[in-house]
Amino acid sequence: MSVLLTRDFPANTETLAAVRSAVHTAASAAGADADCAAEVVLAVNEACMNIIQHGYRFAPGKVFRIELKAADGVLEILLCDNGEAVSERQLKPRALDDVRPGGLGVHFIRALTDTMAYLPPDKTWQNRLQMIKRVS
Amino acid sequence: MEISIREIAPFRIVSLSGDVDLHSSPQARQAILEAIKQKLPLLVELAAVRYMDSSGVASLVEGYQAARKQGTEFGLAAVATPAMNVLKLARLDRVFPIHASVEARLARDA
Repeated sequence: MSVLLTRDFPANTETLAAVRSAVHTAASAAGADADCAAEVVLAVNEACMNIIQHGYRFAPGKVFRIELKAADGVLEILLCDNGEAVSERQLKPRALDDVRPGGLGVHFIRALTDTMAYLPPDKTWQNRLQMIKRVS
Repeated sequence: MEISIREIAPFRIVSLSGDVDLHSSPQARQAILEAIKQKLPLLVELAAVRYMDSSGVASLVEGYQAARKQGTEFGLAAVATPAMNVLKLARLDRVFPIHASVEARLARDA
């Protein structure tokens, strides 16, 4: 498996443009075409938004880590943070026929990736979200 | 993200360009809700949007609901592919009135 990205980002909204740029570069290097790379970027951006908004509640001075690895056309994304522990309830997308602002992030992530799951915490990170997507 | 606002009576047109994300979407939301507060029919033009996330979508939904509640028009115009893809993902492409362009909507009343 080749490591395409391992980087810590400040957990604030200004960072998201840099996150998208780095993820786009890595997804493209893994063989994703333009549409697929855009899907990866959107999924990761949504997950980072959740960390900033819900995990850290916009607290300053926090970080999250993004790791991207690829093998045989499959991209593995690991997003790590030390925000509030995520419960399974929070992974459930809401019904889309309920038209209201908010609550779309999990739906986007599930729709744009092949699998998403929280791995057990390790000695460094409380929350470790793994997303897998075949990109080529 | 850049916002430009113009008026072609009776409409206010709010044009968003660039990245509409968690960092910039509060300004989009504010511009949209300000127009609705003034009871102006509103078109949100998205021709130059390069990226939109769920917070951008939420701003549009909030505007749409506020406009509906008070009985004023709200529509999207010239929706660029990145924005349309996100709207389709949220199944909102069939909820918002979407016009090919601002001119197309204006021509309906001419």
